[in-house]
Amino acid sequence: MFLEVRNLSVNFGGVKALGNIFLDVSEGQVRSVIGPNGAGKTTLFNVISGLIRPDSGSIIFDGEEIIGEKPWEISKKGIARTFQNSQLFITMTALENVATGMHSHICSGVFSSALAVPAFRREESAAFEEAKRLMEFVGLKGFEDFASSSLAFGQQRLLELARALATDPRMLLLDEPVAGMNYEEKQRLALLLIKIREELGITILLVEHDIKWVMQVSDLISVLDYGEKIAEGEPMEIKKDERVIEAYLGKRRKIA
Amino acid sequence: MSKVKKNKIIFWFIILSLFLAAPQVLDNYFVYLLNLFFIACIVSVGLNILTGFAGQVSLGQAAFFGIGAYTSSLCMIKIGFPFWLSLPLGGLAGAGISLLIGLPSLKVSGYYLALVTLAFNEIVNLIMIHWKDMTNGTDGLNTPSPKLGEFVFSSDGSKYYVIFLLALFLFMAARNILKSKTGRAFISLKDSEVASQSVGINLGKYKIIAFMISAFYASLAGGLHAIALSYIHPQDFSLFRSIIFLMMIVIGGLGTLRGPFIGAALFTLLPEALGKFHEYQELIYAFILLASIIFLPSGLIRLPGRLAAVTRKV
Amino acid sequence: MFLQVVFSGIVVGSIYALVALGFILIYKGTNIMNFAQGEMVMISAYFGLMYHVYYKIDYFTSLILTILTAGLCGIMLERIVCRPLLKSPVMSIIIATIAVSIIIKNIARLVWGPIFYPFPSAFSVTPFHLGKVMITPKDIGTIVITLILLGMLYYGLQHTKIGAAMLATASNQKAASIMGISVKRVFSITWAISFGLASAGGFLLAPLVSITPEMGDIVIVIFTAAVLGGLESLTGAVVGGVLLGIISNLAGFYISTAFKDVVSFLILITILMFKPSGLFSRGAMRKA
Repeated sequence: MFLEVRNLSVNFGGVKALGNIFLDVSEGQVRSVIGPNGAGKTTLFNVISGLIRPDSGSIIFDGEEIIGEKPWEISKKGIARTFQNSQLFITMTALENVATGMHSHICSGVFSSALAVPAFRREESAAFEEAKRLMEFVGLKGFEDFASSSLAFGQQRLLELARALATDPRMLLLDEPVAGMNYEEKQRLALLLIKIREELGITILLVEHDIKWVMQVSDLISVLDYGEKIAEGEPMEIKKDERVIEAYLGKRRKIA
Repeated sequence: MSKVKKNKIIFWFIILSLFLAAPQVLDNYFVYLLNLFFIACIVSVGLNILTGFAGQVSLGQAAFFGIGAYTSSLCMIKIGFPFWLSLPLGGLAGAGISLLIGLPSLKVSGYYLALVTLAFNEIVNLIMIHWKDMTNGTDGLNTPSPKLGEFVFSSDGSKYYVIFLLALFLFMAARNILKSKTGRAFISLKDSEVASQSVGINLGKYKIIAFMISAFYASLAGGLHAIALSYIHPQDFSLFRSIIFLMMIVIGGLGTLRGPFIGAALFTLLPEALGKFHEYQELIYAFILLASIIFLPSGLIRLPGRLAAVTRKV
Repeated sequence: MFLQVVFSGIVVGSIYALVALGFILIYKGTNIMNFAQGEMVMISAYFGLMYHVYYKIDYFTSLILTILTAGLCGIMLERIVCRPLLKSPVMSIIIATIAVSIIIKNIARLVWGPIFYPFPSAFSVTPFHLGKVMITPKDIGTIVITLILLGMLYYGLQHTKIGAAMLATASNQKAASIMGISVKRVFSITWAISFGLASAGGFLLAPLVSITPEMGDIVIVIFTAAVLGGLESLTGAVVGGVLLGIISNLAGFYISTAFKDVVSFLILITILMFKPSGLFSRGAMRKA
């Protein structure tokens, strides 16, 4: 198993966000996590990427325990993520955003930067070349010098994806990747994800609300509700699963 | 080579020559002013890296300005080191001491960080005032001029070349840093700590680096300040001075490459332009600052752009 | 001797408490850290000077007039500084309030000059003894006035409509405005009260120290007091103020007067570093 989540629990001051979550993702898989709002999906991502410390449980990525590691260390281990509300570097241009993603792969330190030694210059231009290539890969060719905040929302999501790819990850965590996109953009992203999986061999774990889209792209789907995993299986099975339907349609929800 | 690039090079070559020729043609007083200007530029460029790019508030720059000034001067006076060794030592002292506010910045930010840096500045200032054995306290310290072999850099003009060349080097270094992965890391600190961490940037490391660079610049500038004035006094390094440094980059334009220079120009030339209204200096500064924060938050440097936008609407 | 120092620490500490409370009121209510609080204390002392010494109005009426004048200034400042900057980044607000503090300080310098003005108190300074401690009616008066003002404030917050509006806005602005509370009005009132408190502090401080434009430099003590108490707690500010009065007095007496200032700064840095939520808070902030 590439990613093993075991017994994960997170409480926020008495409110259970995640309770005893188990999840296994195999390498090269496209795995979706779905569930109603507040089910704990983003919390799960925050724990995996190191932004939140869980109250109990363990997460093993490619054989190594990652709970307790700092977010930047986890990034270096090969887990990249995008965010629900665009966390672009708004002061930078689109290209610079992607180039920042290459941070861990550039060696020049402060002094070689200050003196602009040839090695530094080479690394920088190589980084920008690669950034350009990645922007083209996700379909943003031509937008390199645009202020990142001036891009349309759908494009911003693609830019975040390019930036995440720049870290040369082995696994991608995508938090609501198609939120705010129109039908065409969603289709393009679906194809892009397949491309990423096939050409780059990256495992994809995503959280999403658009069930139809999720059915299209996923190998396996896990369903969360109230912080617990209530179902897991292939898209066809999940579609018919009673508990999933109830969770979304709210039969089980008690009126407060 | 493209024509644009060629023109750019010619342009900067002319500017450089003008600056190099300045002491030969200008009155001593103006050379002295230019010295103060370049020194202010060094501080504001350094502070801009910390506050304008990395987004960390600091009200403690005057303390480093002073640490550099006193360290450098005392190395010359008490130990007998030459200026060329004392100055970098002052810079290193500042960078090292900057850990005292760099480390807190890992835990606190915003208002809290401003308070910590404020308290830091005041403590350092109080030490300068009360550690009479070393600093001469409120009597102030007369500082010696740099020497190179037999030649003593005693005139404003000779000091100018030292100051200008070092300033030039520091400006270029700053520009290079900002256009590198380190610079991008700084900006990411300000724009989104969450995203920054997720692309592998060690927040603590870069916050500390940002503090150290800005402190290093301020300390070097302090050492230059000591030789430019030949006399230093704790009052030069008070909280108010920190505020002026902050004013320089805010009014000039936070997070821009040229903003610090505009701000520095404003604050070194303004006192002289005021002449007999000297008493009102602080008041005028404060009004300018308040007005610019409220009406022109992106700094003077964007003023042309803003004016254009406004006139376009009309 | 120890008790004496502690007692005078309590006296001065109660003044700190008033001012720190005003500071927290603005921070909690409008999310602005007012770096000009110290200068407000100072200029109020001058207001008091004008009313009491220059116009020869009696002590208590002068106190009330000073508080009202300061309140008006608070409303003005709220309009000029606070409103335009509500959505600005923290840095802008810090700079703006610092700019205001410089402006106020310079106005004081230009109008009244750098001379020390003595300020008479309504209470006599003939001491009487309580055990080993020497107490003057002036000391008692200071503490009593402080307690009265604090009492009035607490009563106002708990039992009046405006107080409820202030508390509501402080905990959730959006909800408060949806409920029909005029957030702008609440802000104006908050600033007015905060400055009122600072001005009372200035008025009470004046007889103790003599009025100069530099009086505002005690602001660092105010910050420390506020942080000691935990920036979110009103009672904390009061306790913090008194504590700091005692601690800095002790430091001044047992170590040196220079150290009196340094100790405040050191406490400030230490608390901000290790327990930013103040001495009395229960929870730490949760982070990975």
